[in-house]
Amino acid sequence: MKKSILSLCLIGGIFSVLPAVAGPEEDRLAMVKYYSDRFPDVPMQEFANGLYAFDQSAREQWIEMEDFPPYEIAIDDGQVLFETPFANGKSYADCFDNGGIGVKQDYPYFDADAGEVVTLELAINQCREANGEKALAYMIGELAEIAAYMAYTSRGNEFAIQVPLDSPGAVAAYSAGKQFFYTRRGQLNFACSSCHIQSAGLNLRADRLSTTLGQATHWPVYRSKWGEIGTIQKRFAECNSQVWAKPLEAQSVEYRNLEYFLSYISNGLELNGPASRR
Amino acid sequence: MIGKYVFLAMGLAIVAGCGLQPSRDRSASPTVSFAETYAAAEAALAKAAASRNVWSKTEGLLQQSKIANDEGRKEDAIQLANEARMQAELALTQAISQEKDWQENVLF
Ligand code: HEC
Repeated sequence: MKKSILSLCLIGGIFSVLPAVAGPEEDRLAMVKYYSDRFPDVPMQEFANGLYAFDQSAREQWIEMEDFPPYEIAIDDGQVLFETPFANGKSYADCFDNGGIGVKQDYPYFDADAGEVVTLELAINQCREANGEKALAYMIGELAEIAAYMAYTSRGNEFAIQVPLDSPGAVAAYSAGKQFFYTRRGQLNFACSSCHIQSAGLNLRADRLSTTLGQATHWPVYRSKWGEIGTIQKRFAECNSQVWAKPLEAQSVEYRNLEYFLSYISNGLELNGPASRR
Repeated sequence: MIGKYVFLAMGLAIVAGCGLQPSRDRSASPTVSFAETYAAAEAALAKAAASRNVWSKTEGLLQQSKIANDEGRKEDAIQLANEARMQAELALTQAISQEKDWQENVLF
Protein backbone atom coordinates (compact mmCIF):
# COMPACT_ATOMS: atom_id res chain seq x y z
CA MET A 1 0.00 0.00 0.00
CA LYS A 2 2.65 2.44 1.17
CA LYS A 3 4.81 1.52 -1.79
CA SER A 4 2.09 2.12 -4.36
CA ILE A 5 1.29 5.53 -2.89
CA LEU A 6 4.95 6.38 -3.08
CA SER A 7 5.25 5.32 -6.72
CA LEU A 8 2.07 7.23 -7.57
CA CYS A 9 3.66 10.27 -5.98
CA LEU A 10 6.80 9.72 -8.01
CA ILE A 11 4.85 9.37 -11.25
CA GLY A 12 2.88 12.48 -10.36
CA GLY A 13 6.12 14.28 -9.71
CA ILE A 14 7.59 13.25 -13.05
CA PHE A 15 4.55 14.32 -15.06
CA SER A 16 4.25 17.60 -13.28
CA VAL A 17 7.86 18.33 -14.24
CA LEU A 18 6.81 18.45 -17.91
CA PRO A 19 5.93 22.15 -18.26
CA ALA A 20 9.24 23.25 -16.77
CA VAL A 21 11.38 22.10 -19.69
CA ALA A 22 11.08 25.52 -21.34
CA GLY A 23 14.54 27.01 -21.81
CA PRO A 24 15.70 30.47 -20.80
CA GLU A 25 14.80 32.07 -24.13
CA GLU A 26 11.30 30.55 -24.09
CA ASP A 27 10.90 31.87 -20.54
CA ARG A 28 11.99 35.34 -21.53
CA LEU A 29 9.74 35.50 -24.59
CA ALA A 30 6.77 34.25 -22.58
CA MET A 31 7.44 36.93 -19.98
CA VAL A 32 7.69 39.65 -22.67
CA LYS A 33 4.40 38.50 -24.21
CA TYR A 34 2.61 38.35 -20.85
CA TYR A 35 3.57 41.88 -19.85
CA SER A 36 3.03 43.32 -23.33
CA ASP A 37 -0.52 41.94 -23.23
CA ARG A 38 -1.05 43.20 -19.71
CA PHE A 39 0.41 46.67 -20.35
CA PRO A 40 -0.26 47.29 -24.05
CA ASP A 41 0.57 51.02 -23.76
CA VAL A 42 3.98 50.57 -22.15
CA PRO A 43 6.89 50.62 -24.64
CA MET A 44 9.32 47.76 -24.04
CA GLN A 45 12.27 49.81 -22.74
CA GLU A 46 9.98 51.54 -20.22
CA PHE A 47 9.78 48.32 -18.18
CA ALA A 48 13.35 49.11 -17.12
CA ASN A 49 11.88 51.97 -15.07
CA GLY A 50 9.91 49.67 -12.81
CA LEU A 51 6.59 50.92 -11.51
CA TYR A 52 7.23 54.34 -13.06
CA ALA A 53 6.43 52.70 -16.40
CA PHE A 54 2.72 52.74 -15.56
CA ASP A 55 2.17 54.77 -12.37
CA GLN A 56 1.77 58.29 -13.67
CA SER A 57 1.85 60.22 -10.39
CA ALA A 58 4.78 58.26 -9.01
CA ARG A 59 6.50 58.84 -12.34
CA GLU A 60 6.18 62.61 -12.04
CA GLN A 61 7.79 62.59 -8.59
CA TRP A 62 10.51 60.33 -9.90
CA ILE A 63 11.31 62.60 -12.84
CA GLU A 64 11.58 65.48 -10.41
CA MET A 65 13.94 63.43 -8.23
CA GLU A 66 16.07 62.69 -11.29
CA ASP A 67 16.73 66.45 -11.72
CA PHE A 68 19.26 66.09 -8.91
CA PRO A 69 19.92 62.37 -8.98
CA PRO A 70 20.48 61.16 -5.42
CA TYR A 71 22.89 58.49 -6.69
CA GLU A 72 25.29 60.96 -8.25
CA ILE A 73 27.58 61.11 -5.22
CA ALA A 74 27.76 57.32 -5.19
CA ILE A 75 28.91 57.34 -8.84
CA ASP A 76 31.64 59.89 -8.05
CA ASP A 77 32.78 58.11 -4.90
CA GLY A 78 32.66 54.83 -6.77
CA GLN A 79 34.88 56.19 -9.54
CA VAL A 80 37.49 57.32 -7.01
CA LEU A 81 37.43 53.91 -5.34
CA PHE A 82 37.56 52.17 -8.70
CA GLU A 83 40.59 54.15 -9.85
CA THR A 84 42.55 53.98 -6.61
CA PRO A 85 45.27 51.33 -6.99
CA PHE A 86 45.53 48.43 -4.54
CA ALA A 87 48.56 48.13 -2.24
CA ASN A 88 50.23 45.92 -4.85
CA GLY A 89 49.92 48.63 -7.52
CA LYS A 90 47.22 46.83 -9.53
CA SER A 91 43.64 48.00 -9.75
CA TYR A 92 40.11 46.91 -10.58
CA ALA A 93 40.75 47.66 -14.23
CA ASP A 94 43.20 44.73 -14.32
CA CYS A 95 40.50 42.26 -13.30
CA PHE A 96 37.82 43.05 -15.88
CA ASP A 97 37.43 43.01 -19.63
CA ASN A 98 37.84 46.45 -21.18
CA GLY A 99 39.32 47.73 -17.95
CA GLY A 100 35.94 47.34 -16.26
CA ILE A 101 34.34 50.08 -18.34
CA GLY A 102 30.93 49.25 -19.84
CA VAL A 103 30.86 45.59 -18.80
CA LYS A 104 27.81 45.28 -16.58
CA GLN A 105 25.63 43.87 -19.35
CA ASP A 106 27.60 40.61 -19.04
CA TYR A 107 26.91 40.12 -15.32
CA PRO A 108 25.97 37.79 -13.79
CA TYR A 109 27.62 35.06 -15.81
CA PHE A 110 28.22 31.38 -15.09
CA ASP A 111 31.85 30.57 -14.31
CA ALA A 112 32.16 26.99 -15.58
CA ASP A 113 35.53 26.40 -13.86
CA ALA A 114 34.30 27.47 -10.45
CA GLY A 115 30.85 25.98 -11.13
CA GLU A 116 29.01 29.04 -9.88
CA VAL A 117 27.26 32.24 -10.87
CA VAL A 118 29.43 35.34 -10.64
CA THR A 119 27.62 38.62 -10.05
CA LEU A 120 29.31 41.96 -10.56
CA GLU A 121 29.54 42.43 -6.79
CA LEU A 122 31.13 39.02 -6.33
CA ALA A 123 33.60 39.77 -9.13
CA ILE A 124 34.59 43.04 -7.44
CA ASN A 125 35.38 41.22 -4.22
CA GLN A 126 37.14 38.40 -6.08
CA CYS A 127 39.31 41.06 -7.69
CA ARG A 128 40.12 42.56 -4.30
CA GLU A 129 41.00 39.23 -2.75
CA ALA A 130 43.13 38.18 -5.72
CA ASN A 131 45.13 41.36 -5.09
CA GLY A 132 45.55 40.87 -1.37
CA GLU A 133 42.77 43.24 -0.31
CA LYS A 134 40.00 42.42 2.13
CA ALA A 135 36.52 41.75 0.73
CA LEU A 136 34.02 44.57 1.18
CA ALA A 137 30.63 44.12 2.80
CA TYR A 138 27.88 43.35 0.30
CA MET A 139 24.60 45.22 -0.30
CA ILE A 140 25.58 48.79 0.67
CA GLY A 141 28.62 51.02 1.14
CA GLU A 142 31.82 51.09 -0.91
CA LEU A 143 31.02 47.94 -2.86
CA ALA A 144 27.67 49.35 -3.97
CA GLU A 145 29.41 52.62 -4.92
CA ILE A 146 31.95 50.83 -7.10
CA ALA A 147 29.09 48.89 -8.69
CA ALA A 148 27.25 52.19 -9.24
CA TYR A 149 30.20 53.62 -11.15
CA MET A 150 30.56 50.45 -13.22
CA ALA A 151 26.82 50.48 -13.96
CA TYR A 152 27.06 54.12 -14.99
CA THR A 153 29.76 53.34 -17.54
CA SER A 154 27.48 50.62 -18.93
CA ARG A 155 24.39 52.77 -19.43
CA GLY A 156 22.73 52.23 -22.79
CA ASN A 157 24.35 48.84 -23.35
CA GLU A 158 21.91 46.01 -23.97
CA PHE A 159 21.67 43.38 -21.25
CA ALA A 160 23.38 40.32 -22.72
CA ILE A 161 23.26 37.56 -20.10
CA GLN A 162 24.46 34.20 -21.39
CA VAL A 163 23.05 30.87 -20.31
CA PRO A 164 24.96 28.52 -22.64
CA LEU A 165 22.65 25.57 -23.30
CA ASP A 166 25.67 23.28 -23.71
CA SER A 167 26.77 24.11 -20.17
CA PRO A 168 24.81 21.87 -17.76
CA GLY A 169 26.06 23.95 -14.83
CA ALA A 170 24.81 27.21 -16.29
CA VAL A 171 21.43 25.72 -17.17
CA ALA A 172 21.13 24.22 -13.68
CA ALA A 173 21.97 27.55 -12.04
CA TYR A 174 19.43 29.35 -14.20
CA SER A 175 16.80 26.70 -13.44
CA ALA A 176 17.50 26.93 -9.72
CA GLY A 177 17.04 30.69 -9.91
CA LYS A 178 13.77 30.21 -11.76
CA GLN A 179 12.60 27.70 -9.17
CA PHE A 180 13.44 30.11 -6.35
CA PHE A 181 11.47 32.83 -8.13
CA TYR A 182 8.35 30.66 -8.26
CA THR A 183 8.73 29.14 -4.78
CA ARG A 184 6.36 30.23 -2.05
CA ARG A 185 8.22 31.27 1.06
CA GLY A 186 7.65 32.81 4.43
CA GLN A 187 4.71 32.86 6.77
CA LEU A 188 2.62 34.74 4.20
CA ASN A 189 3.28 31.99 1.64
CA PHE A 190 4.10 34.19 -1.36
CA ALA A 191 6.43 33.56 -4.27
CA CYS A 192 8.17 36.39 -6.14
CA SER A 193 5.78 35.59 -8.96
CA SER A 194 2.70 36.06 -6.74
CA CYS A 195 3.44 39.76 -6.56
CA HIS A 196 5.49 40.65 -9.62
CA ILE A 197 3.72 38.44 -12.17
CA GLN A 198 0.19 37.73 -10.97
CA SER A 199 -0.26 41.14 -9.31
CA ALA A 200 2.02 43.34 -11.44
CA GLY A 201 0.54 46.81 -11.76
CA LEU A 202 -1.75 46.35 -8.75
CA ASN A 203 -1.40 48.24 -5.50
CA LEU A 204 0.41 46.84 -2.53
CA ARG A 205 0.11 49.42 0.25
CA ALA A 206 1.69 52.63 -1.14
CA ASP A 207 3.22 51.02 -4.23
CA ARG A 208 2.09 49.56 -7.49
CA LEU A 209 3.94 46.34 -8.15
CA SER A 210 6.63 46.41 -10.83
CA THR A 211 7.09 43.79 -13.52
CA THR A 212 9.76 41.11 -13.41
CA LEU A 213 10.68 42.20 -16.90
CA GLY A 214 13.11 45.12 -16.47
CA GLN A 215 13.69 44.54 -12.78
CA ALA A 216 17.42 43.88 -13.11
CA THR A 217 18.53 46.63 -15.47
CA HIS A 218 19.08 49.57 -13.14
CA TRP A 219 21.11 48.44 -10.13
CA PRO A 220 22.43 49.54 -7.76
CA VAL A 221 19.56 51.78 -6.68
CA TYR A 222 19.43 54.82 -4.42
CA ARG A 223 16.25 54.32 -2.49
CA SER A 224 14.79 57.17 -0.49
CA LYS A 225 13.58 54.69 2.10
CA TRP A 226 17.13 53.33 2.51
CA GLY A 227 18.70 56.79 2.33
CA GLU A 228 21.63 55.24 0.47
CA ILE A 229 22.60 53.19 -2.53
CA GLY A 230 22.07 49.42 -2.35
CA THR A 231 22.43 46.37 -4.57
CA ILE A 232 19.72 44.22 -6.11
CA GLN A 233 20.28 41.56 -3.46
CA LYS A 234 19.37 44.07 -0.77
CA ARG A 235 16.03 44.33 -2.55
CA PHE A 236 15.72 40.51 -2.65
CA ALA A 237 16.24 40.51 1.11
CA GLU A 238 13.58 43.16 1.57
CA CYS A 239 11.09 41.33 -0.64
CA ASN A 240 11.73 38.15 1.35
CA SER A 241 11.14 40.03 4.61
CA GLN A 242 7.86 41.42 3.32
CA VAL A 243 6.43 37.92 3.21
CA TRP A 244 7.84 37.16 6.67
CA ALA A 245 10.63 34.99 5.35
CA LYS A 246 14.07 35.39 6.87
CA PRO A 247 16.30 36.76 4.09
CA LEU A 248 19.22 34.67 2.89
CA GLU A 249 22.76 35.96 3.02
CA ALA A 250 23.90 38.43 0.37
CA GLN A 251 25.66 36.57 -2.47
CA SER A 252 24.38 33.21 -1.22
CA VAL A 253 24.19 30.62 -3.98
CA GLU A 254 20.40 31.01 -4.01
CA TYR A 255 20.43 34.79 -4.44
CA ARG A 256 23.10 34.61 -7.14
CA ASN A 257 21.08 32.02 -9.09
CA LEU A 258 17.99 34.17 -8.65
CA GLU A 259 19.85 37.20 -9.97
CA TYR A 260 21.05 35.14 -12.94
CA PHE A 261 17.46 34.19 -13.81
CA LEU A 262 16.07 37.66 -13.22
CA SER A 263 18.80 39.31 -15.29
CA TYR A 264 18.34 36.92 -18.19
CA ILE A 265 14.64 37.85 -18.32
CA SER A 266 15.67 41.48 -19.00
CA ASN A 267 18.00 40.56 -21.87
CA GLY A 268 17.79 43.03 -24.74
CA LEU A 269 16.72 45.96 -22.56
CA GLU A 270 19.18 48.81 -22.17
CA LEU A 271 20.98 49.17 -18.87
CA ASN A 272 19.93 52.28 -16.97
CA GLY A 273 21.71 52.07 -13.65
CA PRO A 274 22.22 53.40 -11.16
CA ALA A 275 18.65 54.53 -10.61
CA SER A 276 16.52 56.19 -7.98
CA ARG A 277 13.46 54.70 -6.34
CA ARG A 278 11.37 56.02 -3.50
CA MET B 1 -1.70 16.91 -26.82
CA ILE B 2 -4.83 16.44 -24.69
CA GLY B 3 -3.24 13.35 -23.22
CA LYS B 4 -0.33 15.39 -21.99
CA TYR B 5 -2.60 17.75 -20.10
CA VAL B 6 -4.63 14.93 -18.59
CA PHE B 7 -1.41 13.45 -17.28
CA LEU B 8 -0.35 16.85 -16.09
CA ALA B 9 -3.58 17.37 -14.21
CA MET B 10 -3.27 13.91 -12.71
CA GLY B 11 0.30 14.62 -11.76
CA LEU B 12 -0.59 17.85 -10.03
CA ALA B 13 -3.58 16.31 -8.30
CA ILE B 14 -1.48 13.44 -7.01
CA VAL B 15 1.33 15.68 -5.91
CA ALA B 16 -1.14 17.98 -4.21
CA GLY B 17 -2.74 14.98 -2.54
CA CYS B 18 0.60 13.78 -1.25
CA GLY B 19 1.11 17.12 0.42
CA LEU B 20 -2.17 16.79 2.24
CA GLN B 21 -1.43 13.63 4.17
CA PRO B 22 -2.04 14.47 7.80
CA SER B 23 1.03 14.75 9.97
CA ARG B 24 1.07 13.59 13.56
CA ASP B 25 0.06 16.21 16.04
CA ARG B 26 2.90 16.23 18.48
CA SER B 27 1.47 19.02 20.60
CA ALA B 28 -1.01 16.44 21.85
CA SER B 29 1.63 14.81 24.03
CA PRO B 30 1.99 16.48 27.43
CA THR B 31 4.85 18.93 27.60
CA VAL B 32 7.45 17.71 30.02
CA SER B 33 9.83 20.57 30.64
CA PHE B 34 11.03 23.87 29.29
CA ALA B 35 14.39 22.39 28.38
CA GLU B 36 12.82 19.68 26.26
CA THR B 37 10.33 21.99 24.60
CA TYR B 38 13.03 24.48 23.82
CA ALA B 39 15.36 21.82 22.47
CA ALA B 40 12.60 20.48 20.23
CA ALA B 41 12.01 23.97 18.86
CA GLU B 42 15.71 24.47 18.24
CA ALA B 43 15.91 21.15 16.42
CA ALA B 44 12.92 22.05 14.24
CA LEU B 45 14.44 25.43 13.50
CA ALA B 46 17.73 23.82 12.48
CA LYS B 47 15.82 21.65 10.00
CA ALA B 48 14.00 24.64 8.57
CA ALA B 49 17.31 26.49 8.27
CA ALA B 50 18.82 23.52 6.43
CA SER B 51 15.91 23.75 3.99
CA ARG B 52 16.82 27.45 3.53
CA ASN B 53 13.36 28.55 4.56
CA VAL B 54 13.08 30.12 8.01
CA TRP B 55 10.12 32.37 8.77
CA SER B 56 11.17 35.73 10.03
CA LYS B 57 9.45 35.67 13.42
CA THR B 58 10.59 32.24 14.55
CA GLU B 59 14.02 33.11 15.95
CA GLY B 60 12.49 36.03 17.86
CA LEU B 61 9.93 33.71 19.44
CA LEU B 62 12.73 31.46 20.63
CA GLN B 63 14.59 34.42 22.10
CA GLN B 64 11.45 35.58 23.88
CA SER B 65 10.95 32.07 25.15
CA LYS B 66 14.41 32.06 26.68
CA ILE B 67 13.86 35.45 28.28
CA ALA B 68 10.52 34.32 29.70
CA ASN B 69 12.20 31.28 31.19
CA ASP B 70 15.01 33.38 32.68
CA GLU B 71 12.40 35.60 34.26
CA GLY B 72 10.63 32.62 35.76
CA ARG B 73 7.58 32.79 33.47
CA LYS B 74 7.63 29.06 32.74
CA GLU B 75 4.24 28.78 31.08
CA ASP B 76 4.91 31.67 28.72
CA ALA B 77 8.32 30.24 27.96
CA ILE B 78 6.91 26.87 26.99
CA GLN B 79 4.12 28.39 24.96
CA LEU B 80 6.57 30.57 23.01
CA ALA B 81 8.90 27.66 22.35
CA ASN B 82 5.98 25.58 21.12
CA GLU B 83 4.93 28.35 18.80
CA ALA B 84 8.46 28.62 17.45
CA ARG B 85 8.56 24.87 16.91
CA MET B 86 5.24 24.93 15.10
CA GLN B 87 6.42 27.74 12.80
CA ALA B 88 9.65 25.93 12.04
CA GLU B 89 7.79 22.73 11.22
CA LEU B 90 5.40 24.58 8.93
CA ALA B 91 8.31 26.30 7.20
CA LEU B 92 9.96 22.94 6.61
CA THR B 93 6.71 21.49 5.27
CA GLN B 94 6.38 24.50 2.99
CA ALA B 95 9.92 24.07 1.68
CA ILE B 96 9.45 20.36 1.04
CA SER B 97 6.09 20.70 -0.70
CA GLN B 98 7.30 23.66 -2.78
CA GLU B 99 10.19 21.53 -4.08
CA LYS B 100 7.49 20.09 -6.36
CA ASP B 101 4.59 22.49 -6.15
CA TRP B 102 6.51 25.60 -7.29
CA GLN B 103 5.60 24.67 -10.83
CA GLU B 104 1.95 25.32 -10.08
CA ASN B 105 2.95 28.99 -9.76
CA VAL B 106 4.36 29.11 -13.29
CA LEU B 107 1.63 30.71 -15.39
CA PHE B 108 3.31 30.38 -18.76
C1 HEC C 1 4.34 40.69 -1.17
C2 HEC C 1 4.67 41.10 -2.52
C3 HEC C 1 6.09 40.92 -3.00
C4 HEC C 1 6.78 39.75 -3.14
C5 HEC C 1 6.32 38.35 -2.80
C6 HEC C 1 8.03 40.10 -3.74
N1 HEC C 1 8.12 41.44 -3.94
FE1 HEC C 1 9.55 42.45 -4.92
N2 HEC C 1 8.65 44.19 -4.53
C7 HEC C 1 7.46 44.35 -3.86
C8 HEC C 1 7.15 45.74 -3.73
C9 HEC C 1 5.94 46.33 -3.03
C10 HEC C 1 8.20 46.43 -4.35
C11 HEC C 1 8.33 47.95 -4.49
C12 HEC C 1 7.48 48.39 -5.65
C13 HEC C 1 8.03 47.87 -6.94
O1 HEC C 1 9.01 48.44 -7.44
O2 HEC C 1 7.52 46.84 -7.44
C14 HEC C 1 9.11 45.43 -4.86
C15 HEC C 1 10.26 45.71 -5.59
C16 HEC C 1 11.09 44.77 -6.12
C17 HEC C 1 12.24 45.07 -6.95
C18 HEC C 1 12.72 46.46 -7.33
C19 HEC C 1 12.03 46.98 -8.55
C20 HEC C 1 12.65 48.23 -9.08
O3 HEC C 1 12.14 48.77 -10.06
O4 HEC C 1 13.65 48.71 -8.55
C21 HEC C 1 12.81 43.88 -7.28
C22 HEC C 1 14.05 43.67 -8.12
C23 HEC C 1 12.01 42.85 -6.68
N3 HEC C 1 10.97 43.41 -6.00
C24 HEC C 1 12.29 41.51 -6.79
C25 HEC C 1 11.59 40.52 -6.09
C26 HEC C 1 12.00 39.15 -6.03
C27 HEC C 1 13.18 38.54 -6.75
C28 HEC C 1 11.10 38.50 -5.22
C29 HEC C 1 11.15 37.08 -4.73
C30 HEC C 1 12.28 36.76 -3.91
C31 HEC C 1 10.12 39.49 -4.82
N4 HEC C 1 10.45 40.69 -5.35
C32 HEC C 1 9.00 39.19 -4.06
C33 HEC C 1 6.64 43.33 -3.43
C34 HEC C 1 6.96 41.98 -3.46
